Amino acid sequence: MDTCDRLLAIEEIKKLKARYFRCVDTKDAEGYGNVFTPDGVLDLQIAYQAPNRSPSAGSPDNFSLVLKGRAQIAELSRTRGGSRISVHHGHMPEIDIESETRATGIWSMEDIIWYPSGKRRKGYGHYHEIYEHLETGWHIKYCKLTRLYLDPE
Amino acid sequence: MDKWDRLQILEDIKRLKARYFRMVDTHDAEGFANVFTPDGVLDLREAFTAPNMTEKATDNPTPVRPIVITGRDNILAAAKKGMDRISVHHGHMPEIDIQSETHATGIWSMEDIVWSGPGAKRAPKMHGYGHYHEVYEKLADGWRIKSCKLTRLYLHLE
Repeated sequence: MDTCDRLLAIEEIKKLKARYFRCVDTKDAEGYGNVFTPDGVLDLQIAYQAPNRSPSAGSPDNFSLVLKGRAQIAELSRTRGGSRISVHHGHMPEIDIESETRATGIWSMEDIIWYPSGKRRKGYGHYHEIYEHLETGWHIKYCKLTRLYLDPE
Repeated sequence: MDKWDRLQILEDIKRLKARYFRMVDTHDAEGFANVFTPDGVLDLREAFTAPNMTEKATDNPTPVRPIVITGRDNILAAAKKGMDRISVHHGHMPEIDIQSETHATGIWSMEDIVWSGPGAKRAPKMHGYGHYHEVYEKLADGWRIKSCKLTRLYLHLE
């Protein structure tokens, strides 16, 4: 890969992650599923653990924490999305292009969720990701969210 | 240097600064020190004062002191002592100038939040905004920060 191709791949992955965030916050479940590869994995196992929270604190949404495949991932967006307002932002990606079809990345992130109860929760952390290039372009093959801070219950 | 090389350098430096922020917030002192050149300088003299603060209010609630830290070893020592709080640092809107294949400068807008530590209550102890003013050098193992000075626009201390 020459420099131009590598830079374009980095830009396309940045755009992919932008779509990820936009589909989450606009509750576009199908669009959200299509950000991932058909066998994509969304790993939220430690997305609700933060150094400032008790280790037993779980997800307030009561959904499965490892979602496999586009259908499960889209379903998460569908079932959870309607009941709340969210804003997710990504910052400062560290993207490595390993080949023409495989890349990895780490993104700093911030999110704010407004629950129907009126409660607001703010969080900060990092996404750790693997990307794969298919005929339809770059997609997320694996996405894991870790936390620096999450507002207490 | 052709245009692709210049763009690659911009990307490399953005990535370097992303690592800087991630190493701070994940408390990786070694990784943080390695973001700098061996003779790197971290200038924090203005990091804990801001136009909205009275002179009396300049005591910062973190163990980080408002001094100039010179050299990777000293930066490592300071990082080991200073990284005991939950923190979030974000950088935005870099203005990066490439002077040569091995020398560049940059200014980054920044925001940071520091809580009081594990078990932190909701309110942050410190929430600030400002700019990083930086010089970069390319070594055999890639781009590094040669000097980094933090100035402030606003600082709220609990």
